[in-house]
Amino acid sequence: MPGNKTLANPEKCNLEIYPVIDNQKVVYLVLRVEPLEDSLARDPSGSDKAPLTVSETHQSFSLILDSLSNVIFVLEVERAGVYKFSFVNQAFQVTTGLPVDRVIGSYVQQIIPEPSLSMVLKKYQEAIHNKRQVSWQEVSDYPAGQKTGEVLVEPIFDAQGNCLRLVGIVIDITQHKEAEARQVQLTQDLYHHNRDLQQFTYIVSHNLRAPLANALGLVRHLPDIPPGTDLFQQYVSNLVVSVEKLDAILKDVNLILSIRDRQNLIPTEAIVLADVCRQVGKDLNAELTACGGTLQINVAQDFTLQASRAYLYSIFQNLMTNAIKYRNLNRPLQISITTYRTEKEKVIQFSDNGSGINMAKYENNLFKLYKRFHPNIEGRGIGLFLVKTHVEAIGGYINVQSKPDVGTTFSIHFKTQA
Amino acid sequence: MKVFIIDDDQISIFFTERSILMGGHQVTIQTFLSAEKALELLLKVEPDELPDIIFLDLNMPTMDGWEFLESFKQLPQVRTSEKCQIYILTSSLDTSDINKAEEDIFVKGFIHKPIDRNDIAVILQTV
Repeated sequence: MPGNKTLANPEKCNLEIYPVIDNQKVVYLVLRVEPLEDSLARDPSGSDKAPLTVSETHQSFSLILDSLSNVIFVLEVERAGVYKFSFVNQAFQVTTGLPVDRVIGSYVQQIIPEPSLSMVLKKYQEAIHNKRQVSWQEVSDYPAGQKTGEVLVEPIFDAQGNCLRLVGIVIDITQHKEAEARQVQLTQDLYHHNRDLQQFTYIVSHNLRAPLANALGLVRHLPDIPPGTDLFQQYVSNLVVSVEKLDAILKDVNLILSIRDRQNLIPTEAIVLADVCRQVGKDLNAELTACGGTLQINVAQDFTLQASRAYLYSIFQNLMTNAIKYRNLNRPLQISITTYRTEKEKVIQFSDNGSGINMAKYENNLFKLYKRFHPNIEGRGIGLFLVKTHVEAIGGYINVQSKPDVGTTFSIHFKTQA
Repeated sequence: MKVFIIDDDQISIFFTERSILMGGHQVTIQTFLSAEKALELLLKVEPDELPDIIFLDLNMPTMDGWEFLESFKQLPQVRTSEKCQIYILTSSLDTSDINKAEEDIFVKGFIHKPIDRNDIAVILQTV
């Protein structure tokens, strides 16, 4: 510290560090407290300056308290359960938006609203009763936004053991809490991602095993089959199909991994959803009209999503192909695409009047890879898995409602800023 | 002797059928591409018309091998006859499937695909 180079008693020195608001930034005020040996009234610099008066000390003390970023308050205990603010610092006003002049002299119940009031009164009582500091965390809505504070209250007693006042400090831990919440979210995301990958590996290894086992068996038989015969030819063509299946699965793996890999890299743009739906409708028009189906797109032209066009196209192309494939043969297929917005989300609903899905039985497997639910209709069991992967790559999520013989509605949710 | 093969994979059926035939065993083979189709037929047969052996795949759409087993156990003919032996024939290497099969008194064996011709000979001899 400049101007005070020699310390009378360095080992008895205390250093205290305070965060201070200076020009809307937090800086740190370092206070060194040095005991003055045998010269309480003497100025250590030896100058002729007069010692500080009580009122000056009080003033500079107030100044220090006002420059702290932590809220500090003092409550006088008038009688049991009646507390009056005798001091609050500037940070109290900054945090709560309540002027210091209004708070000082007011009773606690005039300043703190319910439900916080009942809680703090209980805590004050606890501090007085147990004669020791109490602390708790509080989430409150202030003009400056929602804040999370760690409150510490210390009771002060007279010689007879009567509580005279409560001194409180509130440490703003909003950022700490936000970081903690982000950490929890991140851990959760990682956990889900890990679980998905594990499931994916498991499914892939299982599905690779089936055509591989076939190929292996066929090859083992081959030396015993007379070449040139029809039977030999059957073995060869089955072998080809098995190896092609292996290839198809490996290509799926590649496709799926590339979607996941690139989800943060692929360029996105504001896509007009109605345009994508119309394009898919046009491209599948032949199939749709062949089965007598209709497509209704009730999507406003200003409904946009920040996404990759190819992914959005793939989502609706897969959903529409499924709707055509699993239509109810007793009535003409009707597909409708509608949207709505909530405060936080943009939601797209894709509905059909098709054969529906037995949700009680298949709900958990519906979006899983290589799961199929129709024994008589050809399919590889990858369509809905791809839909889900693409939706998630754009940052959304998908769920489904369905009734057998009534129809199916897929709801795709995106955060509003998407 | 009568053998049922229940499997949604046509190539796998071809291979299992071929493996039995190559051993020169005198058996009648009936194949089903879904568990539902097999159950449909089993519901109608007399107890003495039940197959001696069923090779049952596990991983099938709509009704899987385990679901088939549950329905199979409820068949009145099966309850009065001990004739039919079930062998799980699967490409699954999942230990939970193996454990489940071990605990099921209706399952006589658990075979990983591809089935070996020697295994078939041993199984058919037990009948």
